Amino acid sequence: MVLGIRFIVGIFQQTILWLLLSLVVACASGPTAKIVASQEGQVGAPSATYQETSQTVPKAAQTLLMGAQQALDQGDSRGAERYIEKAQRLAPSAGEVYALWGAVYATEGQLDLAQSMYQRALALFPGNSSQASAIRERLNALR
Amino acid sequence: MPAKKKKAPKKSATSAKKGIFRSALTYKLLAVFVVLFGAWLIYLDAQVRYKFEGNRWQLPAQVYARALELYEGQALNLDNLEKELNLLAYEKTNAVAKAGTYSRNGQRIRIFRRGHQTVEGEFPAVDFTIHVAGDVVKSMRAAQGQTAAIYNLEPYKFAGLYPASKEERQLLRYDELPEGLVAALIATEDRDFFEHHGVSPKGIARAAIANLKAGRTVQGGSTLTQQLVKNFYLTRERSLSRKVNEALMALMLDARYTKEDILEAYANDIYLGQSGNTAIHGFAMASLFYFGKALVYCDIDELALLVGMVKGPSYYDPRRNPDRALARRNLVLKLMHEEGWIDEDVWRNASARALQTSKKPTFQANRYPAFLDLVKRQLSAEYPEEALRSEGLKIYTTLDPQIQMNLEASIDTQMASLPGASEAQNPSPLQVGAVVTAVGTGEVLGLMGDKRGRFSGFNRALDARRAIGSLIKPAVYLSALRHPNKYNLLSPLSDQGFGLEMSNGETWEPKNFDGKSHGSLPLMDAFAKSLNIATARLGLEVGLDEVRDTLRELGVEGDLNPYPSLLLGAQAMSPFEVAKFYQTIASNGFNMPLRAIREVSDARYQVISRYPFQVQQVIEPEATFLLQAAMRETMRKGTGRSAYRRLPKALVTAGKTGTTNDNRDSWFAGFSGDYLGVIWVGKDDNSSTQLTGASGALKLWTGFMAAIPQYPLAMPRPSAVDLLWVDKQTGRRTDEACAGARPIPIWGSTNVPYQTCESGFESFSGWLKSWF
Repeated sequence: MVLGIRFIVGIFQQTILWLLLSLVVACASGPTAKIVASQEGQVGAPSATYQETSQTVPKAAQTLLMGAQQALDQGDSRGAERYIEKAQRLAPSAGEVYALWGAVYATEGQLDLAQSMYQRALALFPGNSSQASAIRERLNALR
Repeated sequence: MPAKKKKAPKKSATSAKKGIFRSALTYKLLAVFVVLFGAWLIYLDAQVRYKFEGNRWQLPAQVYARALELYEGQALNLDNLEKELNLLAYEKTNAVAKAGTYSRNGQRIRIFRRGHQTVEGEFPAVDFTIHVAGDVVKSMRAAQGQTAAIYNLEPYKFAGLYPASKEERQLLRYDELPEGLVAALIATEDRDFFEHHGVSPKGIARAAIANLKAGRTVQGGSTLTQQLVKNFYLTRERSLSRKVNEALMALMLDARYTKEDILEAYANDIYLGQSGNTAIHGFAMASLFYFGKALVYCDIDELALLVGMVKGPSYYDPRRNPDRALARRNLVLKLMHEEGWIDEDVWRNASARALQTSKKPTFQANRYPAFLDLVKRQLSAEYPEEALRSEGLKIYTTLDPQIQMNLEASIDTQMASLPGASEAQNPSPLQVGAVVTAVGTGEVLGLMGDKRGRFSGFNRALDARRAIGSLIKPAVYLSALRHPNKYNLLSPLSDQGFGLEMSNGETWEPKNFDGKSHGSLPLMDAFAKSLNIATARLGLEVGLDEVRDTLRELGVEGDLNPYPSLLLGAQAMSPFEVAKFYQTIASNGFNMPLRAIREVSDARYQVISRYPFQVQQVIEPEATFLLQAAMRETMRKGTGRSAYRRLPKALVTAGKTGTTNDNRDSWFAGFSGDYLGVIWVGKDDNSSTQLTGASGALKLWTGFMAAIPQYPLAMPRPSAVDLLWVDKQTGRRTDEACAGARPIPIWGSTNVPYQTCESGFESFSGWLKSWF
């Protein structure tokens, strides 16, 4: 009897969890942190849940990173670095910035610096994300 | 007569003798004069060459704040932006029509940016509008042409490093002088400049006639070359000899150098005003001083005003004497028209314009002395003092004026509410040291060395080394959490009092702030409540050496206290040193040196030194993640929770309060996703403040953080950290459905033993609780 109730409750619980998960995935494609306005009204202790993703990469920073990638593709690693430095000012917590910076250093043969940048990128992406996996591969390739 | 005749030859012989003697003497004197005059000419020539060909001026270093970059998606508060525009002497207007003005309509702001040059290149004047909603830039649109992805404002020059002469100056080459400026100078000061040889007889005659007609001195006969000689080589003495020297040197200068060289030197040397105790020299600097923009961006009426001021910078000062300045400017424009430099339309239009002067100078000699102090210290390793004060270096710093202004405002407001702040009632009033850095880059954004932002003296942010109290605790807990097989956030810690016998026979007995013991409690709670006994026990268990190693890895330099009292913060540090080690914690265990300078260029914007971002992983990100979780708990439920009486709950932060014995020091260090702030409040005589970390420094920190839009703390979870349900009493893994289960990040879940719930009912009720 007890086992039966536990079985039914278990199925009920799994179904609700599945539905909730689907809802979260549907609502939050590409979850990102939101800037908190200085006059935002509601005060009180913040929630206990962890916000895993850092800031959105602004369009201007994305454009700069594209410029950096193009410069790198053309063998202009110094030019690429200048672009990345500007992008970092706009999005200092974006893993993408450091991932590309690592690639620039790796191209220049500065492997220690490349490793540091990749590690920094890795720390800024959630550990189970596809970006983190890609960075881990690059780090392994350096070793 | 014969006698006369007789005598005559005698006389004539004598007089001949005398004549010969006289002429010989004359020749000798003449020769001596020629030799001396020649020597004098050689001396003057050497003088002319030495100064003209050597380093003509000692150029102060210019120190700039970061240039504000505006882009879509940026966190931006319009009130803060207006403060920065005001600092840059932008004028608020209803109709934006010229560079250096802006208008605001609700959440829209239209800015006509001035043209300017920085080490990153030239930026022309541009008129654009930005729309902000919820403190985020939603869109930007240029008034004409294509909208750029980023618009940057000119960097605010907040300080200069001046030579002993206290002269402010920027150099321009001849080919950089606007044609209108040269025309105005020639028309007004020296019409024959390109024809004469340094001295103009025509000009002297013209001046003499004009002065005779007027019955007083209305016109000078000095050429531009003579004026340059007077300012450059000679004193202000009024004497014939000085006038002769001036003429001789002018002739030499004209013979040796081109007219362009002479005009360039004149344009860079001329005195054009006073900013406090600093003299403004040269048209380039005067243009920045009076109009807030580079000379190249000046219109003809503005150039005419600058040239008009040559005659009397104080008398024709456009801020103090606008009517006189306007009349003088229009006279210059009239002369330019009469001499054929400008046509009638230009003359009339320019004369009809109001003075374009900015209300106040766009720079100050030393607006943020504490920050400048840091910049000078960071530069001193590479640049001798002499070079800093004479070579016209441009120093691009990381100072963020919006952060600095809000930090000053918060300290000013909040300090007034603290007991013991009043100078009138306290022989040693409360003082402050504060540092704000960018979490992602390690750039120092703001610094206060005194409760008064303009105070230039003892810099408490850098030099007040005081016991840090509980601010040290993150290092103790981090040392433990680096052993995932032994500690997690729910590991039970004992808070029972104990005594430790020291080698000198004394007993060390740590006490909690409330004087009580709290039994056994989870590690995370002991941290959030800042319990001294539990922390001391944990530190001793981990080992003092290990805690010291962690402190070193976090970036703490200098001597460390060798005794157990280190575990409770008996370690003196300055706010800046604290910021260094909290920076490593805030950036997930990565050490990044705190930088106050981005680049240094020469006077011509060529980069000499760069201070690039550096980063190195020094602590396992997993352990830092757990520590950040505990510090977040401090802000949610622990000693930092009062911050959320003002902070929006969406702004997730992590932090730690610190209080020392007898409430001598009140500390707080905390960070969001963007900013780390460290604040110390105390007294210079080290007496009691009656404040705790929460009742003093935290209030100042909160006031500052509440004024700045920013990202909340994000905590990307490393792959080796799992969110598990853990029993808060035992610290063992359990099921979500069990009573007392709490979701906790765990590094190395296999290290945490599993326990099941005790009964089915508990499991069911726990499950129900978990849903509601």
